[in-house]
Amino acid sequence: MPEKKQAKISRRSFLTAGGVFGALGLGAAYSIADGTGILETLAPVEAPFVENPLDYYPKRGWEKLYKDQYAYDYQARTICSPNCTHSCDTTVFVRDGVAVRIEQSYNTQLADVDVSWNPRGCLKGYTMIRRFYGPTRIRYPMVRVGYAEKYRRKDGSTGMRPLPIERRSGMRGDGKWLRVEWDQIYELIARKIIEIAEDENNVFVDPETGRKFDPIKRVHVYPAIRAAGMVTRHASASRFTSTLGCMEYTEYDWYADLPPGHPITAGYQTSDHEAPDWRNSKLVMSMGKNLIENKLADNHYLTESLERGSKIIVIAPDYQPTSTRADLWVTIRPGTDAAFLLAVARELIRIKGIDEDFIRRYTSMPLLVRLDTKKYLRWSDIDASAEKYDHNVRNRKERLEKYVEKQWWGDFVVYDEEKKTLVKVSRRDIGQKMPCQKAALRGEREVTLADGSKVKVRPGFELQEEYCSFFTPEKTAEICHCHADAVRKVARLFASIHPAAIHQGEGINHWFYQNLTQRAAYLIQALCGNLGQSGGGVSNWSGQYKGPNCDGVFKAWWKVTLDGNNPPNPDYTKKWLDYPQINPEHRHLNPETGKEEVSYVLHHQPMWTGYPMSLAGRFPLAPEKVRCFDRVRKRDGSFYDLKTVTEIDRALDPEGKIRSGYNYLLNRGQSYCFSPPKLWWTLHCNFLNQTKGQPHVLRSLVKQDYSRDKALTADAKNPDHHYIDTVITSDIEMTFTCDNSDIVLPVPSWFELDYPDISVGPPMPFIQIQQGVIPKTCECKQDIDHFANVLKWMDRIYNEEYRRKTTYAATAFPHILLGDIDEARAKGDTKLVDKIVATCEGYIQKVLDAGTSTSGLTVERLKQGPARLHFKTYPRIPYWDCVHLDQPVYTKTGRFEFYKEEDKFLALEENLCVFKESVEYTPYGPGMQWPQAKEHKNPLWEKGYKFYYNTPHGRHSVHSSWRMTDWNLIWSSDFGTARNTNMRDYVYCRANDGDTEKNYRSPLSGEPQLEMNPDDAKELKIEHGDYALVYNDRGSFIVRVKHNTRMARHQVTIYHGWWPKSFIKGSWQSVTGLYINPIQETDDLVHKTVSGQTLEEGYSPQNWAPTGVNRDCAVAVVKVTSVEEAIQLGKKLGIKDLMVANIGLGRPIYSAADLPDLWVKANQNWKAPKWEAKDFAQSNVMKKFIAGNPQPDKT
Amino acid sequence: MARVWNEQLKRWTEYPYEVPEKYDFHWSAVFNINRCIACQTCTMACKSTWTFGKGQEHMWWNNVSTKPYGDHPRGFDARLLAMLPKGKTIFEAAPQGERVLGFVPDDSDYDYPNAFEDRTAGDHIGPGQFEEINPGKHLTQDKQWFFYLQRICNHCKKPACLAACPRKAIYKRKEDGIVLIDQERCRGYKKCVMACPYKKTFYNTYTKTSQKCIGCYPRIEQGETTRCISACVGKIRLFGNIEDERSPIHYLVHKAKVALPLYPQFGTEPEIYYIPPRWVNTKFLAMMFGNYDENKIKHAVKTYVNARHDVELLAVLQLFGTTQQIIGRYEIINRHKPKEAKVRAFDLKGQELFVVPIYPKVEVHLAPGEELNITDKEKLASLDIRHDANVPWRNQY
Repeated sequence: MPEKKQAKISRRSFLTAGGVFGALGLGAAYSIADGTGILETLAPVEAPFVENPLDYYPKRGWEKLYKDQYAYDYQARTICSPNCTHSCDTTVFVRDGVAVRIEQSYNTQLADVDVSWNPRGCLKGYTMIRRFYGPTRIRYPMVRVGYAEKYRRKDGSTGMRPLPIERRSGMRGDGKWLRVEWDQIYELIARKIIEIAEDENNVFVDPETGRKFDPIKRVHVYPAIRAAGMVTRHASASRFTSTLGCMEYTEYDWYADLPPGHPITAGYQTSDHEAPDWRNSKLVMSMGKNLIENKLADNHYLTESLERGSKIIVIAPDYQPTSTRADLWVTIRPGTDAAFLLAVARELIRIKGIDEDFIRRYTSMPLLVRLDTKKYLRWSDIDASAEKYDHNVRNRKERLEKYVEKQWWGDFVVYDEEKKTLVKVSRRDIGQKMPCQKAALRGEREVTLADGSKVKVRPGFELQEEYCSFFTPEKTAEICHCHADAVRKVARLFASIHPAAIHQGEGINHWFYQNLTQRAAYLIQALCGNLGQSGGGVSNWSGQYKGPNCDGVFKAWWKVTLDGNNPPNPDYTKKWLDYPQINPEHRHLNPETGKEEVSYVLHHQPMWTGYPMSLAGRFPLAPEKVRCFDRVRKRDGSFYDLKTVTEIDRALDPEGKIRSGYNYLLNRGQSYCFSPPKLWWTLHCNFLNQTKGQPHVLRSLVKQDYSRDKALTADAKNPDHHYIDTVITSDIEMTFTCDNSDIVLPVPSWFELDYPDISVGPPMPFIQIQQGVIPKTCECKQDIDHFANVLKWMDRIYNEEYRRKTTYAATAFPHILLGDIDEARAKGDTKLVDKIVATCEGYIQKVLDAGTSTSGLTVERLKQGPARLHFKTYPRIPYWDCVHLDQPVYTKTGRFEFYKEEDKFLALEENLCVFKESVEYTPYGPGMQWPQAKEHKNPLWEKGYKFYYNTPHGRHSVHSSWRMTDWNLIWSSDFGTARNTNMRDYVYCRANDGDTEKNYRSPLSGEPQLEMNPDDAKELKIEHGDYALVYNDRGSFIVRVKHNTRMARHQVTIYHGWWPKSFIKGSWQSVTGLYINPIQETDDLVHKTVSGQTLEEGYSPQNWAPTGVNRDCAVAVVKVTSVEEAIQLGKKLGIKDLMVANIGLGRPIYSAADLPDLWVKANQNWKAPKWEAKDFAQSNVMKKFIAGNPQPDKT
Repeated sequence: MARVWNEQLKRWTEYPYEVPEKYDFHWSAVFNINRCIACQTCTMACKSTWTFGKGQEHMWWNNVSTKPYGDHPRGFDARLLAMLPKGKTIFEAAPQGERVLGFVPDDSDYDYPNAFEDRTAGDHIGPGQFEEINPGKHLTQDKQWFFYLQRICNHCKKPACLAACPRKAIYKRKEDGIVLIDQERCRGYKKCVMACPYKKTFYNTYTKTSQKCIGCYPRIEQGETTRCISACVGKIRLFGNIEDERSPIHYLVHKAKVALPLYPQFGTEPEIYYIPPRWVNTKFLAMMFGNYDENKIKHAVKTYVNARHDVELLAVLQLFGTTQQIIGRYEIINRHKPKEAKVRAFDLKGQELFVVPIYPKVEVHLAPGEELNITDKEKLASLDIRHDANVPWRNQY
């Protein structure tokens, strides 16, 4: 098979001739044509006689030309590893040390699965060579000029140390970069961390709970997408934070990939059916999900289910690609999915299309609910001799001992219809283990309590049925703007076809009331008995959250026990142990030693990323704004009182330390923790590009003009009124986040890795290894080495300057003590290189050995290709064991819970599966339930924010990755072209010693588009190809408009992930908001731990946590032709970030609105280019063509 | 002009050269539009292999566009169809002094290759409506629609580019039917660019020659499928020898008649066949794939949507995107028990490549002492139960 290359071009000339890092605009790739003779063809050639070229062609020697172009030296496998969850095994073709092209490996059979999995890998894998050899690649470590200074070390070498704030200059994002040596940058970071850790001013006292936080908790690390590189790539950060005890941000919840309805109903993080199981569905309902564009690698299983006779229902306001597959496409008003589902539930019950046995056996619906307390009736309520469950135990520690450790939350009660008695049902009594098989689903009864008093009780099913009865098809048509028959049709399909699957995703997850939609979907599936069944279930399909699938990583890598090691400052050690910042949840008995580990384990503190984004910095958002209490109303129309809701949390406070009224910590449960950041270290995630409420985050936390802003920086030690001190970003390419950092650390791309790493993902059962297949093309180091080196430097500084013995590096990353891999390579010491690599592979082997799902696997085996994780079933079907082996579901009742008794659910009126209007995008009463919602108007709607702002994930990028890759840009929108018609921006990724003129300028070959219904556009006088200003109270941006008839009226769509460099002004995240749904801060919700089988209560990172609400967003759109015009409009309309006339010129910052917008300034003279093909769609030729009869009649 | 038999039009047509009656092996493929997701992986696979050089910036030998509005170059088909009189091929309709009816697109027509992505045609479905299509029973279609069309060089049996080349620098390989432009002989007259009705020959401004898809002959010669076909993650593409009656694509095209050529009315006998989308109106599809005969479309769509009743068709559909090797022939195991049926594929040399079940069972691991609560026999039959002392105890970690 391997074909030897023919044309000899040295790697050096190969790189320089084509300018791999040089002029890599379009078509300026390495030009093999130069070397292989195409140019010679310009010389005249004697034409031989050819009679019939179909028959015989004499001179075919030239065909060697393309064979030479195809030739390569070797091929090797690794995986494509962006945050798309797929981790596709790819083969890299290498020639002269350059990765010339990519192809899927077609090797899934290695994992003992059939060939139907082949091939895995999409266009992003194929163009990653353009990205990794492209102009955005970071080529060496850099520091922002004005952030640090050089100094002379004791040994005479030059070191780097951070400048104190008052001596800093410039501003993040000014593009002034200094190239530094590895040693200098590691020393710089180590010094900064020590500086923070040793400063007593950095002790943070939580004003609400009184909890004290060690200064090291001001160091915040954000290893996004840990499951995609679990040991030596970004997730090595977890070991680093664990070693130092830093804060670690969480990702899956923050990006709203987490569907909180799943833990609410089933106590389980997310229930995705593995892709091949889609084929077993007979009915598929896709709502708010575009499986075609979002699951490229495994999507064929959906169409294959069609070929096997399944029916597909798509519920979406627009005709999206998945609608093309649909047998039934239902358009509904955005945000009303829950109402539609409740109506379907009502109809299902009405036509008796439900599986009553399933409901009795596996759901909470037969359990009796007390009508006085609205809690589940406990057996101990009626039997005084039974062990008592007490709702009033609020103290977390007490709850832990009484209930959580025993995994027992009381025994429940059902009414046996046959024996006409009450029957005790424990957590384990589910399915056929239930003591009574005919539990009543309806009927109000009076029971006598142990104390002799009488209360009324009803089964949860009847309560839910009663609530659903409001949603008649006609009423639903009015609420959802759908057709009443659509409800009936969907219900009939669900009643008659089994198994049926519901797929939801980010279209649902990013709404404020996402939980309600997810719970309603579970309700439908429970009514029809589709949970735990092959081809059934509720799947979510977003996020790379499957770290738990490789459970060994939790046990053997991410948490570090510091054997005799010290925390940063011994003086704090004692205090540290007194601080209650280590959650009781994390206290556990070590089975080997029999001791509690909490005193000896200093593992990191996970924190929900949204808290610092919304609540820290100079302009923390008001809690009532973040939690929408100014818009949310009760069923009767009265306002929620923030204080009332807070009471619930307050009641949970054991020591009564809560001081209410403080600006940023209201309404937070005890298990949710927060500390304001001093240092951010983000990895591989383009964090600032992807953050919701981007203008707020930039203003409040990131942008600080040190040169001008002396007055603000003077109060440097006040933790509550400060920007972030240091921003560090590790990445492959120079992202928007890197632009706005102080320190930039380059890492190798997926085919240049020094050490292998492992990856898992939701749609597939594979564990795979990624490994280096070519030498590194630039100066970069893998994440594990970044962290190891920083720890090594911390040890050195502590030992030398503080006379304190720390051995962090030796504890966490012993391989670094063997030596530096790059130096060993440079010296040609292959033995040492092998030893270092082997040590790192040893870390992976340890993880594999420790895991239940990975037992028996070896690193050597994984290097060959994918292997299968061990689960109960293949394909993996969530809750299969609950339903077929009668194992309890991960809730306090052991059942799929549709009635929630937690105080906060009661207070917010979400104890049943209900429907509430969106808090932002609705013409009716925001945050209200029907019929009251209809009586109210949304002030935002009245203000003119009438467009639903939809930001889906497209096929041409993975989040913000590939948004700067030329070929992808060309295909990303209607306005992409190889001609570079819109050259107006530049990419800086080089050190320039402070001279920004030296930045490399690279034209963009494509630009973002805002899709809009042509009827809406006509009203706004916006033509196809025109530019428009999109705005709301949070910010604004300018974007090109594409007419598309597929859009619903009052809906605009811009694909997710564009960088601000692609916009004239602002960014797609300029208008999105930071909301927290308070229900997701319920402290006593019971759910499974992320990894393992035990249940716990309260906050659990990436598992039970608040999420983001990107899509719950209303905007207004207006046409503009220049930035100047936009500024004028901003003044007129009161658009905050456009109101300052003299933007960013020589004035101190007084308020958030005064923030200089560099892009506006850079593009002030920009004028919109014309789009030539404007009239093409309306041309007569096209009209006749679409009618199917384009030809002239003449013969 | 010679008189040649056009198999797709079922009539004698005119063509400048005599056409060989039979090939032992002819490069051909079937594209299942119903599965396409327009991810452009094929596009990038081709681009990164063949057209990344200077002068090739506008060249997309492979492209996927959203029909009806999109394509590359812009509106190539609508424009040619508007010129082509009914009932004539592009050779028969050639104007005086030309061998083929055609046009050279403007430079700007090569801009914006993905314009109109996901843009719908037809009546807009507004609020308060829903749409139901039920292709199994009656062939009504989406009121609002689009679909993706995947296009590469068709390696036609009667290539228009070859016919138009004044230097006879374009030839068709006898061993596999691949049509090539001799890069040493081409002088860049652009006659092929004008003639190709699919506009899949491109002029290279740097080498001053015309260039086109080479059918990945360096791979075909090794028994491997092309780059675009290997790359297809939607599993919509199947490559094979259309001349071999045992090949799966021969079955799809000539036996099941579920795959149809693109614009056969042009008269070039293109060798890429498409399974038409099940949701689009037949009139439009008939113009595109049926030479205006709606019955052909109806037959193809009906056959496709009823695939579950046809073991052979369902089996052949499993072969798409399973291997990079060219599948020479296949056989069906347990043909008479569809739930147990499997398909076995062989390469061109007759070596077995793989066996794949059509309805794979769910693999279940039971630990000692665990008992399933399933009584339904059919459900039990769909499980592959394995007793294993060493299995995980739950399905959620």
